[in-house]
Amino acid sequence: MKFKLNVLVATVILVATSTLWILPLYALVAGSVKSLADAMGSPLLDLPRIPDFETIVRAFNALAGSMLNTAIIAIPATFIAVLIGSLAAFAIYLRGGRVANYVPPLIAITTYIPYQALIVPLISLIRQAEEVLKVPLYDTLHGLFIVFLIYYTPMATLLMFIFTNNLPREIVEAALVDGMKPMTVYRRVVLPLLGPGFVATLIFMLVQMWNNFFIPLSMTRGYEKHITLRIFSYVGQAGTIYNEMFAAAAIGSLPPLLIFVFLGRYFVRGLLTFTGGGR
Amino acid sequence: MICVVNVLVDNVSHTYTKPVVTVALVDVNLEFKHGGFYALLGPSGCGKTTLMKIIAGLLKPTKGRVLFDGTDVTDWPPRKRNVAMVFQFPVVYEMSVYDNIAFPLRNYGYSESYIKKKVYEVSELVGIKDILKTPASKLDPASRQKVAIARALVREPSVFLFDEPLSNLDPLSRMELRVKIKELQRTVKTTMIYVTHDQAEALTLADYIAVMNEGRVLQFDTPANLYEYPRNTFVGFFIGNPGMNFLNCELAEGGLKCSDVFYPLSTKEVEVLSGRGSEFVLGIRPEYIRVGRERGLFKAKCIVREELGTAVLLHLETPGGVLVKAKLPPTVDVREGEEVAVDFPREKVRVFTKSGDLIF
Amino acid sequence: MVDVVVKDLYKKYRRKEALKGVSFEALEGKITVLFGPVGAGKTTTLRIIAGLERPDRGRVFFGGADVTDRPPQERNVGLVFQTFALYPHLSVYENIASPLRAQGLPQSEIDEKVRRVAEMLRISDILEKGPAEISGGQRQRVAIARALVKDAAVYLFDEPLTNLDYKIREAMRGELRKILKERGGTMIWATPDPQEALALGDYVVVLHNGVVEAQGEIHEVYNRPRNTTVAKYFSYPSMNLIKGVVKSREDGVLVDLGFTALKVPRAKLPEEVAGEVVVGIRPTDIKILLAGEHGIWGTVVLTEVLGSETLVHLDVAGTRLVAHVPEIFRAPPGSSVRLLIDPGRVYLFDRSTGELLHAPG
Repeated sequence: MKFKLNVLVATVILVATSTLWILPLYALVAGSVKSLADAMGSPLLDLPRIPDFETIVRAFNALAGSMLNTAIIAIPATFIAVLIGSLAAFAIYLRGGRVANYVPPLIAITTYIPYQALIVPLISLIRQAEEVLKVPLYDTLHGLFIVFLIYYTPMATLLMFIFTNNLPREIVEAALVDGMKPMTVYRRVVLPLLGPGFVATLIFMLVQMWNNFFIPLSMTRGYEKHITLRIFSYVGQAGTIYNEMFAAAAIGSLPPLLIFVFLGRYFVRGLLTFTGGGR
Repeated sequence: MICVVNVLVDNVSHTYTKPVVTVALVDVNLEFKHGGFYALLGPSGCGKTTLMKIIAGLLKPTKGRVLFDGTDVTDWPPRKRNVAMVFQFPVVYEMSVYDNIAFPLRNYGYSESYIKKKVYEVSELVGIKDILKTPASKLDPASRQKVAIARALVREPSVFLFDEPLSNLDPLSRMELRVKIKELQRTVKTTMIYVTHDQAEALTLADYIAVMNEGRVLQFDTPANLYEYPRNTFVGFFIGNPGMNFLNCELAEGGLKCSDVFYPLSTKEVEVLSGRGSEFVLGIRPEYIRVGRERGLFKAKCIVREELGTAVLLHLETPGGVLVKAKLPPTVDVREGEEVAVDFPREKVRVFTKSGDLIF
Repeated sequence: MVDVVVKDLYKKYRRKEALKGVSFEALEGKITVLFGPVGAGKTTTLRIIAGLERPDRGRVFFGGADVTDRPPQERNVGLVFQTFALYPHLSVYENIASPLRAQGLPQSEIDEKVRRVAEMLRISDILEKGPAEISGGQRQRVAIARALVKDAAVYLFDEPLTNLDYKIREAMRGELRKILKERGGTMIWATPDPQEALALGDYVVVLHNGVVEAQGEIHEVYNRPRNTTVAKYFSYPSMNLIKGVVKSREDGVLVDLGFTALKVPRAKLPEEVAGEVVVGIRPTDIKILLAGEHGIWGTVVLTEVLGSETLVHLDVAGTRLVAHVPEIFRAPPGSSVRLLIDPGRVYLFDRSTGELLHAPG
């Protein structure tokens, strides 16, 4: 009897929380195929009267440009941030001693600072750099790229440091004793072993950059340079075009979702190294 | 203090499916009679730990049953079987030694006065009465194992299972605990099953040993019989330090021919062998080989002289390539490079089939 | 191949002082065993020699050159870890080839050297496999091959046999010395096992609690242990050490052990030593008598069968003694046996300092 009650309670809680998550998702998908009249007229949770796939096509066309821009910025920025992060993490790991004890927590602390506090000083710094270097940075793709890089490298370093720390120390030592220079050790031993961790960090950072709204908002004008801006653009003073917005949001969420679907197991494998589930 | 149980392993086989398909046990049939001290002995991967887990109830065999005193317990979880286990890594809780030992009794809801009596009794037996107040985590590994043993004992289990409990201890503590465990078994008389890859532990502690390899029990016998009459070349190799020497031979006129070594046999023996094939294996333990300067069975050169402290191991090689190791007292005066005469006393020679089974 | 000299090494970890002034020499071309029980400081010492740790104080010299400040990749050392530390993502071949690739040798030379050392260690048939696919004993051979494949200044072995099954260890002991000598070079082998030490070493350095207790030619040190610490740890089976009292000393010494008195012939003790000593008796020098009228009575506590020999743990009037019998011997605990101690084989140590006063032979 006692046994059954546990299961009952657990089931109720599960159903309740799942509903909480699924409802907005349902509303999003349902809303994506409603015509404008439908969307404005009927309650959020109603099914579409007649599915209108035009909405999706329109949303896609509107989004295409910003999606491309986001990809152009986020993908290289992710790779470079994680590369730098892993190199830095390895260097700290090798150094050991006080450096390895104090620097990572320091880096961690900087990632705790809310970006809202950092963004204004960062923008003003960018402006000054523009003046000195005579290169336009504000409201440019490459400017946004640089800011992402600056902002996200510490987090990447931290994550990579955690994964690097979990490597069996003696294998790295064996490589040094074999006569490999640190860079060779990194290339031939550390990187292959970090594999899942590296990929997990890449995925995580990419999703971060894809979903970030505030930085593109502060660094650019208009809506084209980042997908989150474009989705937000549907909120107007006159009202919000819900159906197309929903469609846009749905389409915009697809790339990260697809990444998880296809590369998700590497992410999980990477996380497993936290618990020593790897080697 | 006694709760004695007969454990019967009935036709147990087990195959693991993950991470890869591995056959762990094949057709194991063993009976552990109450009050005896038994050992499961074999190299890493032989299946002994799997078998122990099946007896304990941590694993359900893919085939076969486990019976306690005639009752089929194959589906029973460990708690219901009332088995006690002591593992390789001492399991102690973050509390005083007293509380550690009292823990299972408190779970069962016994009175504190009863618990006190039992804890004192058991800690006296194990020899940790004077550290009852110490927090268990502060103890050295050997003492922690004693606490783990005490905690297992206090439950008055039906069966005591040890999984290589001494392999993580330094040699001195290992010896100390071996003595302790043996003394314990004499006093407590519970059925004890001890899993190990160390023959010294098995031979010292157990009355009966199941020698296992590759999922099978090769021989279940007393230490003396395992040593003198190994039913299998693997048993002959595994028991003894070092293990038996083996020579590949062919049946010839009047005896066995092993390359350039000829071993004479009686007519009767040749007769027995000729019915079993033409190729055989001759086994002789290093400590039984006689080495001298005069005549013998054959001549060989000492190619390595291995100093062992208590003895010397001479690696002897004949011109025909036959290699045997002879174990002799350290005072024996044979240097590397010297030639000696080698003899095998008849009653210590064993003959096996080519596939490794004992003939005589 | 060079002489390795370590001078005055001190190393402290958190609260534990691992090394307290360790100095010794490993001669070129010889196998020096670094012997000591768990926690003696063997691994720390080897890691300092390899360059994986810096000592708090002290220097390391390779052939006269001070290498203490050189990082490991510049020391040209071969190291076999206790845990083997093979590269899990590389084949056995690539694992062994690793140090040669780091040196930038041409592929043909690498191939020749890898195959030669694989042949020496009898692993030529598993070169294409991955470390996960081979047994523990094979993995250890690969680890040794990786160390021996290069021409190192010194080869360091950190208890490579400790993690292996007893039977594999037994088999490897005999052939290892041959393999090591064939390879040639300066070798330092760490182990807590006296039998392993005796089977492999030319010289020994006995380490205990971070201090060098003895060093020298291995059989010398074994047969004449400098003090009770060396006698206790560097002996197999461990030497019995009993308190005794010196009674007289004409041309030998009469030592009273309580349960018996031994006349130790030709033992000459310094005048100052009177009264109390520690007597050392090897278990192999205590004989168990099955018949006859001589001998001391003792009670069997446990007969420890080691395989082909037995250690009999005895209680002799309150003193614990261990006797070695070179065959399987069983006697139920509590039974009485008679023993005979060979007085000519007795060691005498100073009771207060533990120093050796007299050794047999």
